[in-house]
Amino acid sequence: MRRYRDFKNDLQMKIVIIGAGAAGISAAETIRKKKSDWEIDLVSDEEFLPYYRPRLIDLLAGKAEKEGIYIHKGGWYKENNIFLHLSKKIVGIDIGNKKVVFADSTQLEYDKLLIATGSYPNSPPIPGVNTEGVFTVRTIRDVLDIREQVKNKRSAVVIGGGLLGLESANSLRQSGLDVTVVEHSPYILHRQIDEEGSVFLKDCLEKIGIRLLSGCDTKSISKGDDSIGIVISGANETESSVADIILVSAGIKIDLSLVRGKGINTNNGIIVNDNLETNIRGIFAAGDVSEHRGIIYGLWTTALEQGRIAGENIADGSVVYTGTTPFTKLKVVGIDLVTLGDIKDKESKEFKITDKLKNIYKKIFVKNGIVVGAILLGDTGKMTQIQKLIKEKTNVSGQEQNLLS
Amino acid sequence: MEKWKCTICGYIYDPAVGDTEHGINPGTKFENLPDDWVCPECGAPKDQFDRVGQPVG
Repeated sequence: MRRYRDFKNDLQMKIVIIGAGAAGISAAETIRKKKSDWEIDLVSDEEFLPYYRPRLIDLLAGKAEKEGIYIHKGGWYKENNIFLHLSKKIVGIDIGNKKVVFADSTQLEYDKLLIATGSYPNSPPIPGVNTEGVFTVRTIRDVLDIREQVKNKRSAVVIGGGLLGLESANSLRQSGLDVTVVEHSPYILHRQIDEEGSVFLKDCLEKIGIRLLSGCDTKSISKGDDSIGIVISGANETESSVADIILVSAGIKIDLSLVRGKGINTNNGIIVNDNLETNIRGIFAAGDVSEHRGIIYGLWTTALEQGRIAGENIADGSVVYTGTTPFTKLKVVGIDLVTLGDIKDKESKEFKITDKLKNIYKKIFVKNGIVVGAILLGDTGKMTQIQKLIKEKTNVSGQEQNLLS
Repeated sequence: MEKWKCTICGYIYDPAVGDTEHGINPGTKFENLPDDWVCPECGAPKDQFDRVGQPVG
C-alpha cells in the first residue's frame, strides 16, 4: 500500500481547493509553479473572479470598479490550466472516497484537498440586525449592493470602529454621505495606538466629516418608512437617530459545518500542523479557516502566506510555517500609521510632536534612556531610524525630542 | 520603464508616476526605490512586488 502511494506521488495528482480567496489562489499559483501537469480545481461560491479583498474599500468608495480589483484576468486561469468553478458551493466532503460534493449533488474526486473557505462577518446580537438596509462588507456582491443602496442617499451608520469599519466609513464619506461610526470601546484602534493618539485620530476623522461615537453600543435597529431607525447608548445618554444605510463591521466568524463530524480535528478553526496539514493525511487547511498553534489570524497577508506554504507542501514540498508578522505600516482613512515596539509600558517616558493641521502625531516611548516603542501617525519618515534604535537598544538620553523632528 | 505589482494588494508601482506622497519622484525606477520603501496602499515591503506581466512558473 505504502509503495503504491509513493509511486502515485510521481504521477499526475488531482487537487481540489475549496475557496478562492487569498489562501486558495496563492496555493493554486504555487502548486502550478511546482507541478505543471497536476489537475487543479479551484472552487469559489462567489460569482466573480477572485479579487484582492482588501481593495473592496476602493470599490466601495467608487475609486475602483470590480474588474480593477481582480487578481488575474479571466483568461489567466485557462492559460495556467487551473479549472475555476464560480458560484459553486461545496456542501460535503466524503473523506473515505476522497470526493467533494457540490450543492447540486455532483461530485469531484481529489487526491489532495485544501480547505480555504475563509470566514464570514460576525453579526452582533442587536435586535433588528437583519433588517433590510443593514449590510456587511465582505464580498464584491456586498459592495455592489451597498453602492446600489446608497445612490442619492444621505446618511450611513457604521457599527464597529476597527480598521475595516473605519475604512468603510471613509469610503462612504468619500461618496458624499454623512457617516457616523459607533464603537463599543472608548478608544479606537487600541492595539495600534495609545489613548492620546486615539483621541487625536478621532479629531482627524471628524475633520473629514466622520462622526465617531466611541464607548457606545447599538441597542436596536428598526425599519422605518424610508429610512432605518437606530438606538445608540453611551455612558450617560441614549440617542435615537435615523440612517439610510447601516454597515456592520464586528469581526469575523468561522464556519466549520463542512468538516464537523468528519474526523477532522477542529477547535475554533480547523487545526493544522506546521505543514498546514490537518490530522487527515492529504487534507490541508489555510487562511482564516485554519487554526495554527492556537491562532486564527484572520488577516489577508497571513492567508496569502499560508496558502503559499500549503501549496508547497501539497506539491510534495516540505515547508514549515512558523507564524506571520504583520506589516508595520498601516493606512487609516488615508493617514499612514506605524506602531513599533512596546507602547503600553506604563513606566516608560513619552516624548511627542503633534501637528493638528497636518494630521501628524508622533510619539516615542523611552525607558532608562532607551527607545522601547513608537507611534508615527501622518509622517512615517523616521520609521527605519527608530526601528533600528529599538532593535539596537541605543541610549538616546537628552536626544529624545530631536528624534521626532 | 517596467511597472511592478504588489502581490499583497494589487497596487501597481508605475515609475512614470512615482509615489510623490512618500517622496518618490516621477521617473524613479522600481529598482532605485529606497530599501525601506513600502507599498503605499498596504505597507508591504519591496520584496513582495512582482514585475507586471510576469507569468507563473
